Amino acid sequence: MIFFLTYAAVYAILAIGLNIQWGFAGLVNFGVAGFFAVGAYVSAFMTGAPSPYHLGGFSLPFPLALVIATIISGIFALILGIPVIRLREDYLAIVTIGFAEIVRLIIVTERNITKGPYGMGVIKPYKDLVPSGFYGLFYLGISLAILGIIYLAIQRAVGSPWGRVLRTIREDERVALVLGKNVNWFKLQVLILGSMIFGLGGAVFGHFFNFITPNHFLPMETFLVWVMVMAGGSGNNLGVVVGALAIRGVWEGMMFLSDILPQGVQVGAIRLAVIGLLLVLVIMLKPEGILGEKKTASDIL
Amino acid sequence: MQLIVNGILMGAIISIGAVGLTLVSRILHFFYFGYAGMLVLGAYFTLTFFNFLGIPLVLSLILSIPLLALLAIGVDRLTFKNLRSRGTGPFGMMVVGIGLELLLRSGVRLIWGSDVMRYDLPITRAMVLPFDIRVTKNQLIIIGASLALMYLLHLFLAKTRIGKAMRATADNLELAKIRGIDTERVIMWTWSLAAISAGSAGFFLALDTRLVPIMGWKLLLPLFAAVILGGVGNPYGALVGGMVIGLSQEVSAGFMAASYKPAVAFVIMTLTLLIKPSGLFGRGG
Repeated sequence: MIFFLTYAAVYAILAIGLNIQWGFAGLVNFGVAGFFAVGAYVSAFMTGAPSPYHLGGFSLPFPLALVIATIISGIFALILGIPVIRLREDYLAIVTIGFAEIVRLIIVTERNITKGPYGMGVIKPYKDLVPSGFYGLFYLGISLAILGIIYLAIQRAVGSPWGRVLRTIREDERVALVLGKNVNWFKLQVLILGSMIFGLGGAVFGHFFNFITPNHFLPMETFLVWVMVMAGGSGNNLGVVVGALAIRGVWEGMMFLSDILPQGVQVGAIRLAVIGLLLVLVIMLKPEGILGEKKTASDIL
Repeated sequence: MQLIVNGILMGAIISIGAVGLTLVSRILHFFYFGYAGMLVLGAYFTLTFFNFLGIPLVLSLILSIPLLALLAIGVDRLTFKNLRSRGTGPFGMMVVGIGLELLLRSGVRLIWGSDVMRYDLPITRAMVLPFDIRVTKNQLIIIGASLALMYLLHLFLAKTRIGKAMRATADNLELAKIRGIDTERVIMWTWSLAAISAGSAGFFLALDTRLVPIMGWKLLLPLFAAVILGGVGNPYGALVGGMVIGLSQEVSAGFMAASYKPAVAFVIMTLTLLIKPSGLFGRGG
């Protein structure tokens, strides 16, 4: 249970990041898994002991590693974003999928740096300070604390004038342009900020799971986060956190199906189907588009 | 030199697949990830007819294609038609398409299992040609058949009434409607051509390599690269784009790790979008 909640907390962090990008600014990022991976691996490199099998081993303290992972994800976002930020949504989606896959392929191929498909071990921070029976709870606490900080920070950011500009961009870019806002610069900021959160989530994940492989960062992870955001109500931070919990619950819960289904039926395939179905339903059933936030034109109208 | 031959082979497979995808992308106005499902089912339907029902291989492929077309049209009726009348944009449709791809892939796993499968064919030895090139009879057949199919599709698009209607719709949807073209019929034909295109591509890939449920997804990404490179909606662009992507991917293995091949396709696609978004032969977006 603690394991499940911690896992859900990681995804909740990711969901908030995507919520800023898609829910509040209407920016389509299908490369979540890529930034997730960058964060996880960077933090692993920073905190690990020196090893001939992989890069890094700087044995840095945990909080510093988190910060570095977050910043480096942001840098990746900046490099990716500058050329692609102006693309139309569906083109941006394909390019960002491409980015995430390129990141994953690099991790797979450059074994001398990342140990490739064999995966890398990631340390448990402060392992020696906490009695081993309580460690799970301890890390859950850390994860929830980080989630809480991100949540509150983003809630404040979204309510601010900056946040209002984002929402304007989402509703109708031309209005923002007419108002004199540099739309592409705002979009880039959102891309970077959201991706930094993905990186942070990745780092938290790495130290939670203590083992990362490229298979943890397949496109399916990106799709999971998207379902969480869309089903939870894009534009609603609390909604997406709940969405993260719910979808995670569905995902893990389906593993128990194997107990009641006849032999030989593949639960893995059923999980795929359920997520696929959710993606289809979420678009088809929401009455007008997929925004969970009420459109506010003006209180006068 | 061998890499170039591999590239031509891969290019032929990608090209024939890309023709259908480029038409769907343009006429239905979104990037249909569910096309991967059509690719993979093309291979698996043929497998069922051939391995399990003993029907000759080519006939198996020919039988699979109408099934694919029916499936695609059925899916369209259930989902995209509704979204079209609601005015859903390309992004929403794309997300539905991704969901459909997952559903179709899981369907393949549930029905045929996740294990690697192969067509029940004797193992053919490669012929050795000048320049130390090795190629099998099947590979030559794939290249030839792919080109032949593309020629047939070209004739269809150029000579038949519905083909011209499709090209008109691909060019300018609104103008086509004003001219009285029945766009729903065009859409049905688009799915049918896509079935031919995807079914063949999936089959060829399976014939050359093997069958796994994820093969559709893996082939899809280079297909999108080819479509975008050639110009969305331009079948001849798809041919050229497919060849370029196929050659680039295979030749890249000569100087970088083979696992980077899909990355090559992505990079080319991204560069296209940044430098000339309408592709090599496209007109406006």
